Amino acid sequence: MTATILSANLPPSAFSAEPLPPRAGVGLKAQHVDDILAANDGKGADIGFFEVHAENYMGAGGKPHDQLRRIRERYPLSVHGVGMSIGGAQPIDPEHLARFKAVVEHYQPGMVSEHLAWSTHDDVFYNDLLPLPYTDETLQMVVEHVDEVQNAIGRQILIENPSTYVTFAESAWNEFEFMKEVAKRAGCGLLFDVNNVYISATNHDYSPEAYIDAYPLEYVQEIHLAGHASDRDDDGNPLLIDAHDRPVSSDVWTLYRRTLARTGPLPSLIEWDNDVPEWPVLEAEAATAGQILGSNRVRPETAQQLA
Amino acid sequence: MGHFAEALLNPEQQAPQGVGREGRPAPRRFAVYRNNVVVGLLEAMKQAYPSLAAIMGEANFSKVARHFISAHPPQSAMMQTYGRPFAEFLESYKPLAKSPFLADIARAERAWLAAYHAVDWPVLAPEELASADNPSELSFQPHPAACLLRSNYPLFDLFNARETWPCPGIDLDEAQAVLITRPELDCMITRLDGADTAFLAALFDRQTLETAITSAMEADDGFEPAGAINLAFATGAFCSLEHPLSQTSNPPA
Amino acid sequence: MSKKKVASAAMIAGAISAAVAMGAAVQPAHAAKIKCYGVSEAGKNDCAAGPGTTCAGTSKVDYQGNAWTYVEADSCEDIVIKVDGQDDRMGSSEPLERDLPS
Repeated sequence: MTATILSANLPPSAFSAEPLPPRAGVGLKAQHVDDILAANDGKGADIGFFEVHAENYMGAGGKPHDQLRRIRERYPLSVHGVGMSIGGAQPIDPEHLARFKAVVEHYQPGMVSEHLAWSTHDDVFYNDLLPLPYTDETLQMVVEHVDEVQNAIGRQILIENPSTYVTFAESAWNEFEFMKEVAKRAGCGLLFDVNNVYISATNHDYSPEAYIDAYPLEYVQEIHLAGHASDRDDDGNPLLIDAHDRPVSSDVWTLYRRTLARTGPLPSLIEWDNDVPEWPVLEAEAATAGQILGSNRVRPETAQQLA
Repeated sequence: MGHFAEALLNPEQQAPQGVGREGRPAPRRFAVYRNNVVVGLLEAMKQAYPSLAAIMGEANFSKVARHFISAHPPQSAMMQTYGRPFAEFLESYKPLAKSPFLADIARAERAWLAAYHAVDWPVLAPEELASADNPSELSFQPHPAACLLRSNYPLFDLFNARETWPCPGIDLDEAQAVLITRPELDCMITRLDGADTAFLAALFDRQTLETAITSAMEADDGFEPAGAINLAFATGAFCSLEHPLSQTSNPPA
Repeated sequence: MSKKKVASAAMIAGAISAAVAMGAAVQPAHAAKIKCYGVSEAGKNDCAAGPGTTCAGTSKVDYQGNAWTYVEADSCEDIVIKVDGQDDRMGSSEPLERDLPS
């Protein structure tokens, strides 16, 4: 007797696409919506854009859509998928793709993105962003999947670099080369997660600065920033966990400055997904990113000489 | 990726060959993924079933939920639907055989979540019924968010454990029926007495208003139709009026 | 006099008028008469949305989860959930796995 909540049938869109500004944005949480809209005497918090996970708006109706419509009326939006399994060995789930398309068409976001990761195998969804080996075979598969998604929604998407805890002996590509090849062949853009760079570099013992310097930043259209937790691996080596449960670390802010010095200002998102604090804490994180963006409004070509 | 996937939900299985650090196995590293999956799904279950988690206690709930997760891993990236067969799982879960009321709580919590995400249909306005010809012959279409649950246990009190636990005792011998609805954006749960339950159950079963009132009067002499009809409107249990088939075949005058 | 009560059209029409006049809230008078009508405050909180997705890992370690195997549920000991507020550990043959609020 319970009603179904699965639907790709959202009403026609009242929105027109609005590009993300090169400002700081925040990952939207339901518990913050009222505070955000009421801030500044009802004018709304001074935030460049908001980002949501597409999957959380695949229900038929109710409060999630009401909240997101009210946010979308006032702010540019980025739709970030977490469940497409772009890096999976099996075809993209057509039902999931149809739901994703419905969310994108309804909300007309300024940016659409997904991950270089997999989460579905056979018919099980593992609810985590799982790593893939970087081989010619997986490259071909990722390119096909990105192409399929872009064709379905009729627009370019960005692919995000992962944070990883293991590597694959069979990997034949560097991650940054793999990302560049995906962007080149699929015609997609890249979403550069600076915290993920720091986590993977620490976990796999390479220089995050060298990674950034070698990264195809010319494809990057958005940046992610988040906090991470620290642990140790089997041999006592540092093992960072991409927990999104605390402020951005000072090392990551430094790498963010280094990135912006090459790219110039880009839309930059604060992600905080676990132990989510009150709204003012996120607003303050966004303000920090905003200050760094403001002080980096130098021309990229000048910046490249500095880098 | 098959081996990677299998090992995620089965700790007895080692990480696949060649997955680790610099080509060597690194169980603690692989365990991060395993932990992410298990903790993530346990959190999803706790968020979907907060009343059950409160009543069962953290340790018991986690133990049972882990068994559920291994038997029913998610098949969709929409986490708001995850855990749907939990009521049936609890019913067949032997260690909980002495607590049969838990499955009904799971049903109510699932109905609540379904109502929260249900399609935005307007609820039936009282004026529509007031201005209808021959209203006693009409039946009602249930609102997509609405769900009537009858329980042999005090389901209303048990459901509200999400707000009130720990509370000073619930009498398990009391049977309660509840109506879960979403008149606008906020879900509501309403406790029903026997006559109102009979009335609404008949309407949910697409009986006419007259039949529904008659069944409620049979259930309880003191049934008050005005209050029950108002309750149907105020909770948003229905979204439109329907003319039963017999009405559509009336010969033209 | 019929033994079976039947709702008359006039009575139904009157009930509808009375229901409309009551307005859009669950009537306190009706609730009081029924005594146990209650509308839960639950759900007023936006966090009642149930589970959402995450693109983050977790720093919260589930040690049992990591050691967890496919134990047959049948082999687990009974879990007895008490909700009646009575502390009956004395004389109970069932293992009580949860301390009760006093």
